[in-house]
Amino acid sequence: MSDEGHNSGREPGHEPGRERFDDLKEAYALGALSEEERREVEDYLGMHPELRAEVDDLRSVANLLALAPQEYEPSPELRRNLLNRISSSSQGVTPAAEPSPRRAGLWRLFGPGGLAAAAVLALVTVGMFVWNAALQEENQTLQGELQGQRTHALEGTGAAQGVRGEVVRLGDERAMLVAENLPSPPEGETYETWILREDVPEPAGLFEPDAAGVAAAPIEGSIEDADAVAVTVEPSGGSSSPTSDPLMTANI
Amino acid sequence: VLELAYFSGYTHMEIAELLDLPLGTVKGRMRLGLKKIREYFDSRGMAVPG
Repeated sequence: MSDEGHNSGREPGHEPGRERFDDLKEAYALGALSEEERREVEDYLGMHPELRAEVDDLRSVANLLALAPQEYEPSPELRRNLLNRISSSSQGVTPAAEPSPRRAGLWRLFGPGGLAAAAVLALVTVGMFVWNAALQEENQTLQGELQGQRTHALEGTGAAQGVRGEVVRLGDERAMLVAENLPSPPEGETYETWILREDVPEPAGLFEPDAAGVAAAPIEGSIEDADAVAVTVEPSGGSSSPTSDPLMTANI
Repeated sequence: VLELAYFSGYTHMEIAELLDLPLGTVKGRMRLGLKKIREYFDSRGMAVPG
């Protein structure tokens, strides 16, 4: 374990690996670990498979973020560019050694501190405009990406005619199915998700809508190279191959 | 913190640096944030799909 300073003061007999795992598991579920830390957690999970369920659970909770309205932080590159622009424009307004007559008037009015504050304020204002424009552009690109490639509309038929839903990609492989206005499945039955490749369905998890007809379910399995995601009604506990026609389908 | 981690792909150390917070605080907020999402879903009677 490489967490220097972190392991001091531990009670004797307390397993260091477990403490480290508990420390990192949320960041792991959010995909916010460095490569080295990620391997560390996965190695520990390999040795303690009983902890896998806890991590899967945290990841499911983290995946619910996909349902939240998304606000994007500007990329580090954008931040750097902006700071560069600000510092280069600030070089352009370095006050001249001798104040001009007009500036001398201002100088008397505001004093050196006031002028510096006004210059900083002007810079910050310009910076905000530049940043805002850049953010809007990036936001549009991201929205385009999100709508164009990241989500796939779910089409309902029969009892699921009025369903509104989408398959939301969370990466190249992972995806969530979200739907609303979904009727409850008949007693003793459940919804089952399938990943279709060349018309061959692979089971991808069971789900049920809540009382308001809303469902958010992770799609279990990779959707990379999949042709479609479909949902059927199956007996409770699910089936290994579909026993009914799809009620909802999203073409990937 | 959750958005920076989940959507923007920053690591917890980068987030700590970006927000000028101790790493422990970032981890604590991740823990609390996930807990709040779970509680929100639980309070509305929605099972967290897993």
